[in-house]
Amino acid sequence: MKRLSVSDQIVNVLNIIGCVLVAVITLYPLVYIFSMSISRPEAVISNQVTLWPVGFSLQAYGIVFKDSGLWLAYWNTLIYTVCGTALSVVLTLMAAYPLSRKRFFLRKQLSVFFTATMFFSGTLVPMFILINSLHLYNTRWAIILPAGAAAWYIIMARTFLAEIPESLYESARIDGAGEWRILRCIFIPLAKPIIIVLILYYAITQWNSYFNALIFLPNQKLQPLQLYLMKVLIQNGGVSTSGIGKREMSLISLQLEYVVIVVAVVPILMVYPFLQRYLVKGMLVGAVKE
Amino acid sequence: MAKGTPLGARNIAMVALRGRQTMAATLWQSIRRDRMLLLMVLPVVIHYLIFIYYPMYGNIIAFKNYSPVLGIHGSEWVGFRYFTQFFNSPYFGRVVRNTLLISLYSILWGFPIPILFALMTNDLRTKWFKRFVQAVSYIPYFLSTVVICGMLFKFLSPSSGIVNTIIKALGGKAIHFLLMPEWFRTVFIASGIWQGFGWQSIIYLAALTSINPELYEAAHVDGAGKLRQAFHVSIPCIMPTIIVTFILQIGALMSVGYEKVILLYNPNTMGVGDVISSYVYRTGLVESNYSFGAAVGIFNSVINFTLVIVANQLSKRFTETSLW
Repeated sequence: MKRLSVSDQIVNVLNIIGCVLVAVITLYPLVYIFSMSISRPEAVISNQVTLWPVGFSLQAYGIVFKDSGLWLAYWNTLIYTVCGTALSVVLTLMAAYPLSRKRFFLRKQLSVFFTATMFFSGTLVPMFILINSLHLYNTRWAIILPAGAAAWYIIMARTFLAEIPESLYESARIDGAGEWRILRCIFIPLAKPIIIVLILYYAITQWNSYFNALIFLPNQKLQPLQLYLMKVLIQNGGVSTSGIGKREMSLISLQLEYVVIVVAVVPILMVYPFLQRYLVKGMLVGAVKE
Repeated sequence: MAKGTPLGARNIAMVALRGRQTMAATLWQSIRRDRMLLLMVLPVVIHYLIFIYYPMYGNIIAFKNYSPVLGIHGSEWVGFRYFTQFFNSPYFGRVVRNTLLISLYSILWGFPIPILFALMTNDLRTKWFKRFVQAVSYIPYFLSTVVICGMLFKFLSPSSGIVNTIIKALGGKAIHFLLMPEWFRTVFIASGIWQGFGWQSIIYLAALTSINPELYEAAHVDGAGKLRQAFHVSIPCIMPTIIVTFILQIGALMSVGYEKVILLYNPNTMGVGDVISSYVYRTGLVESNYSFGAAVGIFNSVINFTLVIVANQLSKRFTETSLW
């Protein structure tokens, strides 16, 4: 280790303090929400909680878990995330693989066809009309089908696939393998990292999105978790509660909202530490090609 | 073969014909050779045609008086009526100004923070601490817009929110943050920074790690302290990345999305919170003025497109990096 001068030591200490502060600012709201969700209802309503839980009660969780609306919304989100992600990943690979083949005669033209769409926006109203005229309005398809292959991810996957050695491709062709077999047996196993990244990004986008459901799904039975959250947290719709006295309800209704936030965020926070590596990698693969 | 046709002309005609034939033949050959690739990409092309290109085409309803009964083709043409209507409405100035102000203040406050944060974490010597701070800072990026806005509603509530509890404990008066126009931009932008700074710092960190360590050694030998190393080695080395990111943000100046705005604003704060995209949503979908909404949408995308082109030109000029 090099000896540090006094001024450098001061900079180092300030830097560490700054980083600790940043971590605190980021984590505080999350810890606070969790503490609010498991504290005693009396402590919550009288603003006693500032960081750590005051007392311990899971009563609010019990009430929220009894709300069938929450489970239905969770189930719907699961359907949309799994189906939408599967469709998106398959379509992305089906576009990325041909575009990564150097001899493909429409490579340039199709690249332009896909990437040009990144520069046009503002088709909200025509999209609404389209979904209506396809009779997808108020069906699950209105959420699943439009989630196709994003141009950005097609390019990202294409770049990755193009870096797989050409010799593998050539020898497979000489052995008489068709394009589908080459994609399935050679490229997909080698492209696992990029496929994981694609799955993650598409899945997180689907899990978190609310707007399409807001405009396309008036039927409450089809609505995803994010719309349930919107009603409870922002429009003060409240958690549906049966068999709870009015007095008890006024005591606990605030805490219910914190519980709902925890319930919505926990799945993402649980998988995050394991997937962070891939998420960052994906961000960089995309950024390098800018 | 007709008699009396000059030989030269006939030859030229033959050559041209053969040329066309060979072109058709090579095209046919290519199609045959790449038929599996074509078959593979076809579903994606169809998906794009239906869900992206067709809505783009559907924007022509901005020049028509669209009625759902008559359909896109059956509705009558009205030319630029909806555009003039928009330009003459009091909302025009309001939504353009709000969009610009939110973007500009976001850049002003939000742009330097990820750079600073990247410099700070890059300088941490304790490995686990560095990784911990970075990992923590990325978390908010993965929370949904609804969750972020829900948290704002809870934290800023005048009666039960933690922010006002603290203000009251310090002897102040509770503030109705979400009902006051003067607070809208601050809340909107600050929460945006909280959500994005860590994630945005990744690209700078990648640039920082690719700096040759010898540069720091040399600076150290020359007697430069940590701060001077930051200003004379780190920042100049990541300048291209900084400029590209900045230019991209300029390109997105007029595209403040509706997702967060329509959750956060209310009649009290609409004067400062209503942006172009949320106006499209409200007029086009909530009030069902389809053609008018489409006209405002086109106005916005034309400006966005122009800004991206300009930004790209700037990028080419100053950094030799461009989007295309």
